[in-house]
Amino acid sequence: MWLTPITDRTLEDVIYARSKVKEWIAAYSRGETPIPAVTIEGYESSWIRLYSHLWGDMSDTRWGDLAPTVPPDLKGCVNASDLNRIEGNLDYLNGRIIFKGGFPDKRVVVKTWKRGEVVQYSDVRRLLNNALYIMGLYDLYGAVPIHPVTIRDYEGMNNLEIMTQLAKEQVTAKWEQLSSLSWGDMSNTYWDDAISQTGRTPR
Amino acid sequence: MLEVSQAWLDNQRKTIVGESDVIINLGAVDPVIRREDVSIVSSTPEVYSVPYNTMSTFFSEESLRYTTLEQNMWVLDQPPLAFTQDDFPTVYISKEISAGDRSFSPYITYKVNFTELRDPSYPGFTLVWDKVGGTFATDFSIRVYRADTIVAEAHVQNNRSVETFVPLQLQQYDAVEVIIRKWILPYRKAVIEKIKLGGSERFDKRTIISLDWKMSAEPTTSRLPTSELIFKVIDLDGKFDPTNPDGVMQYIKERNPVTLDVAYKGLGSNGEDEVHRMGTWFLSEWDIERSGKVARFVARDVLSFLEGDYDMPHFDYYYPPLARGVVLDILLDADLPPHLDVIGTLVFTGIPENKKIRRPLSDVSKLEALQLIANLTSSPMRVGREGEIRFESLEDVWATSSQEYIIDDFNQYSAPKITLLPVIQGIISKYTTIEVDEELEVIGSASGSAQGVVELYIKFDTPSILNSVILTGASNEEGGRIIRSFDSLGVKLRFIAHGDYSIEVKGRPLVETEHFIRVPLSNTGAFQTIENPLATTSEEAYDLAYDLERFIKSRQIVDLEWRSDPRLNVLDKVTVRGKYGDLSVVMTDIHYTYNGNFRARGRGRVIA
Repeated sequence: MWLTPITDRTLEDVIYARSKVKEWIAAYSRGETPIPAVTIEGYESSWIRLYSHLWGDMSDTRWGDLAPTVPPDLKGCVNASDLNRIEGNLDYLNGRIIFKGGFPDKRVVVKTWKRGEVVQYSDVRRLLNNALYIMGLYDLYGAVPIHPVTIRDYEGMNNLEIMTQLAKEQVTAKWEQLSSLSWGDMSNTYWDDAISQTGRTPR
Repeated sequence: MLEVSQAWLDNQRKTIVGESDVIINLGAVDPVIRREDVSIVSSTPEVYSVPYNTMSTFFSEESLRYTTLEQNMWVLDQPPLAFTQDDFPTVYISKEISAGDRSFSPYITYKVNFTELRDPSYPGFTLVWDKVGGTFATDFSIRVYRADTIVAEAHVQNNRSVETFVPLQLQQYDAVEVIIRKWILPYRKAVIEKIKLGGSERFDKRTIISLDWKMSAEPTTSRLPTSELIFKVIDLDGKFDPTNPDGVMQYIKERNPVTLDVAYKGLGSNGEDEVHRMGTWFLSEWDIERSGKVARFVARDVLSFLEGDYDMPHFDYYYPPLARGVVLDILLDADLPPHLDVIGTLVFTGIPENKKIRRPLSDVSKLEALQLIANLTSSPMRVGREGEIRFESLEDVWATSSQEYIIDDFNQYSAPKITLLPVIQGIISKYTTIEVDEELEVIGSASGSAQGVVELYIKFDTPSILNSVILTGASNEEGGRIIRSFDSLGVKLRFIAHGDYSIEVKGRPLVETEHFIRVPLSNTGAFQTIENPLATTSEEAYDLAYDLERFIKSRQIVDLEWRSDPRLNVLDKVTVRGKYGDLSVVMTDIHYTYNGNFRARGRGRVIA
C-alpha cells in the first residue's frame, strides 16, 4: 500500500526533536505525563479517534483522555514507521513498474521493521540499493536533487522520499490515463487490461 | 591550552563573565576490575560493547550495527551511533524495549559475578546508565549476593539521574544484580554503561568554600612539575569528621581520585552548559578545621606517586635502551593508583622514537629519572587534564601562538611585575663520555653458605661489561645456566650451593670522562653551569644549552594577577599587553582560585 512520503523535513524539525526528547525526559522525571508533540499525525490520529465516539460517549470526557498518551514518533527522527513506509513504497513502485511497461526488479528485497529492532549497516545498504534500482526503473537519474546514497541526515531522508514521490507521480499519470476510457470500456475488465487499453503494453 | 568553544571564549571577554560552576568529584570506588574478574548473566542482550559512544564511519563492515529503532533515537542531524561487538562487555543494552507505560515485562536483569569476594569497604554502588542518550532507569533494584544468598538489597523508585549512587551497607560479596522495572522513556532499550563498586562525593559551588589549584612546570625541566588541588567544603552535619562512625570518611582513602570540572551556563547551541574537565588528582590528605564545620582536602597529581627510588634500572652499553622504553619501565615499576590507566594514557610524542639512553640511571628517584629524560629529549613533562602524563616537544611550546590568550588592562587586576635577572656571560653544559676499559678487573663479588638452589643478583661496583663469573662451592642446575641475565649494572645468578660458596665476577669497567662545552651569551657576568648525567655527547650538551638559552635570554620574569580563564595550562604561551607593547610569555606557575569566578596569580618567562 502506498503511504504519503515525508519530503519536507527541516533542520528545525531535527532541533525540535532533540529538545522534545529532553523535554519528555524532564517531564517524566517530574512524574508528569508529557504533552504530546504537535504533529499533524498526532492530531489526525486523535481526531480520528474522536469520530469513532458517539456524542454521548464523549460527555464528561476531556481532550487529554482522547489525545495520545505516549509521545509520538517525531518528524526529525527515523522510526520504524518511517522505514516501513519507505520499504513499502519502494515495494509498491517495484510492482507498479509494469504499468510503465517494465518488469519488477527482482533485486528489490524489502523488510518490515519493528520498534527497537537493530538496523545493521547491511540493512541501510540494502535500502539504498533498493532506492537506486527503483530510480533506474523509473529513469529518475538527474531528477532527484541528490542521489540517495547515504542516510546521514534529514536531507538524505528527504532525498530518498522525494525519489519515491517522483516515481509515484509516474504511476499516477497512468491512473490519469484511465480518464480516456469510458465506464463501458472498463466493465468486466481487469486492472492491467484497462491500462493496456490505453495503448501502452508492457514490453 | 584546553580547547573550548567560541562561545566560551566570547564569554571570557565580557565585562561580567556569565555564570559558572565548579564540580569536584571525590571518588570512593573500587579500582577498575579486570576482564577476567567478572562474568555476566543477564536478560538477553542486544549488544555488549565498549565503544557505545563511538561514532563510526558510514562505510564499514556489513555486520556493523548502524542504529536501533527505539522511538526517536535516530535523530537526523548526524549519522547514528554505530555499535561494534567488542570483547569486554562493559555496556549492556537489552534486546527488549520498554512498553508504552515505560515498564519492562519481564523485568530486565543484569548480574555481574565476581571470581573473588569483593571488598565491602566501599559505600554502595554507582550505576551509570545511558549517558550518551541521556536516558536511565527510574525504578530498579540492586541485589548483592554471596554464594547465591542475598546479603544486601535496595529498591529505588523515581530515579532522575543517568548516574545513580545507591548507598548500601555491605559485607563481602561475590555478585551484584540490577533489576530494571521501568525506564524514563517508552519504547527504549535498557542501557547500563557501567557499574562502579562504590560511590563518589560531589561538591559544587554551593558546598565549596574555597578552591586553590596550583600548578608549575618548566620548559627546561629544571624544576619538578607539580599540580595540586586544595579545597574546603561546608560540613555542617559532620559527614566528613573522621571520628563520626556514620560519616563518609570510613570510605574515603588516600589515592581516591579527585576530578574538577568547570561549567559555564548556557553556552551550548541548545542552551546547555559547556563543561570541561580541568584536572584529575589523587587524594593526599584531609583534615577538619577547628570549627568542626569545614573539611579541607588536598589532592596531588599522579607524579606524586613517583617519588620512590628508581632501584631497578636497566642499562646495556652495547645495546642502550630506548628513552621511551625507560619511561615505560619507570612507570611500570611505580606503585601508581589503579584508578588511572597511566600507561594507556601516556603521551610521549616529544621523545624521539629512536632516542637512546647511553648512561646508566642510578641513585635517583623515579620522578627525577623521568625529568632527566624529559630534559635530555627536550620534551618537558607535565600532567594533562585527565591526569595523564605528557612529554611533548619543547618545539611545540615555542611554536604555539601567544595570541590565543591575552592578559591586558581588560582582565588584569594589577600591572605586571617584571623582574630583570643578572646578565650571564654564557652557559657551560657538561656531558660525560663512556668507554670500555682495556683492563679486566673484579667488578663484583659475593659469598655465603647454603644448601640447594640459590638465586642472587650481584650489582657491579661500577657499570661494567661482564666477562666471566667464577663460582666455587657450587654447581649449576641440571640443564640450567648459572648466569640468568645481566646488563652493564649487574648480573643475576642461579646455582646449587653445597655449603660455603664464593663468587667473583670479572669484567671491563666503563670509564667515564667529563667534558663541557661553552655557549657564550655576553661579555660580562658569570657562567651558568648545567648538567644532565644522561648527556653523553657534545651534541646533546649543545642542545641542552640552546634550550636553556632560548628560555633565559630575555632575563625577564613576569608576575601576573588576572581574572582568568581556566583553560590556560603551564607551559602555554600568553600575550601580556603592556603600555609599551606586547610580551610573549611562557607560563611556568599558575595558581587559580575560585570564588564565583576564576582569579589567578601566575609567573612566566618572557620569550625574546
